[in-house]
Amino acid sequence: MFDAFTLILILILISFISGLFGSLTGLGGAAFLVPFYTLFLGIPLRFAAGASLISTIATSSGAGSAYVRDRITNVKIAMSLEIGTTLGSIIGALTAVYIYSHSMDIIVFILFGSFLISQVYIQLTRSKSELPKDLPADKTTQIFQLYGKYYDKALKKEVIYHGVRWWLGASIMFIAGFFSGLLGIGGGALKVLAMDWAMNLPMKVSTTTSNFMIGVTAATGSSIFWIFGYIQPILAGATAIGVLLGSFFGSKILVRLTNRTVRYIFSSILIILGIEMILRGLGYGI
Amino acid sequence: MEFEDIMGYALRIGVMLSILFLIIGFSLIFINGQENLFKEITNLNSSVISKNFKIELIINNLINLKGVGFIYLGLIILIATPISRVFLGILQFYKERNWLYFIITSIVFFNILFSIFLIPYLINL
Repeated sequence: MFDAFTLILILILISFISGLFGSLTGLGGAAFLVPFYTLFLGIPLRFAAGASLISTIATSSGAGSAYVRDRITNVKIAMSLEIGTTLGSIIGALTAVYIYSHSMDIIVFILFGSFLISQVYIQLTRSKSELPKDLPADKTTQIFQLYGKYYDKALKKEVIYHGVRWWLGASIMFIAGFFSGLLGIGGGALKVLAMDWAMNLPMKVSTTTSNFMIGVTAATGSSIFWIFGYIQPILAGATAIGVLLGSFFGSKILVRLTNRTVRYIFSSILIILGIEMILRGLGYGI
Repeated sequence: MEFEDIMGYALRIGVMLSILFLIIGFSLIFINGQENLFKEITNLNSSVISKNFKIELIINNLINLKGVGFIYLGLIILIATPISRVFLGILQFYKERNWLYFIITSIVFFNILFSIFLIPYLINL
């Protein structure tokens, strides 16, 4: 269909756009990448998911290096919750293996489509408050040493915080890890939910710590994908380069999308891609 | 230099090395005229997918300057980057004598090693 050079340019361009959109919406590259690859290029779902999962490691590590040195990422909270995400990722990736080896790809198509549509809700109701309400420390705060502080450049003050309800956070993290391994996504939205909503952590700490955790979760799932042959090197290599560049540019353009119109545009794209993924799953080819 | 700085650099160096090897890999594919490899990206039983491309073949590719081996090296470094980060965490908590977190981080590290080494062993039983 295309010659090799055109094809690699197309792969890098599509993954660049996915990384850019993913960074602008805060959804991560995978949300756009997997539908673009499977629906428009006809790439098998398992290869698209494998390439996508590996690319989330690149963006997580690339952005993570800056956050860790800014001391916003809370390494303890990240590590304690990674018990949940890595276990979830192992079970999720093995579930994916079971599904693919029984040629039931339709399940993953339908789940992926539903995941995209569910993200619209998060896009439109994104939490506005930067700092959480003041909740008293509980038992897990002490046991797991869920304390921290960071200097907030925008608020121009040092923020001292503590996390609560570790068990709830870790349970949501297990689910986040499960979907990461099953669908080949970073699962950032669920991870932020676990820390922001369940553990009552400041938004900045939740987003940077989540970003940091995505790499470890994805490395676990990718290793299992690797063993079962879902890593197509040409595709995964080109995707890692494109998504990394795209998300880097995205982070330079603006930190977060605040413009309503732009949010509606991205929400419409998500709905369209979600419906198309579900239709593909149900056997209506496009 | 504090641990946080070392971790930050480890992540950055890992990503940069990985991208460097990926670019070398793609350049070698074009230089060696192996463009037909691109037809393989939809082939579920391709000889280049991770299941069929064993570590010996990757090393052999690297010695003979073949592109796919370099791409695999880039991908392996990419996956290893966050793992090295967890390993540094174990050292950090050991140094701080924080035994709870020493154990927690070791469990996370074990989970990752489990998926890399034990699962392939278990499926071969």
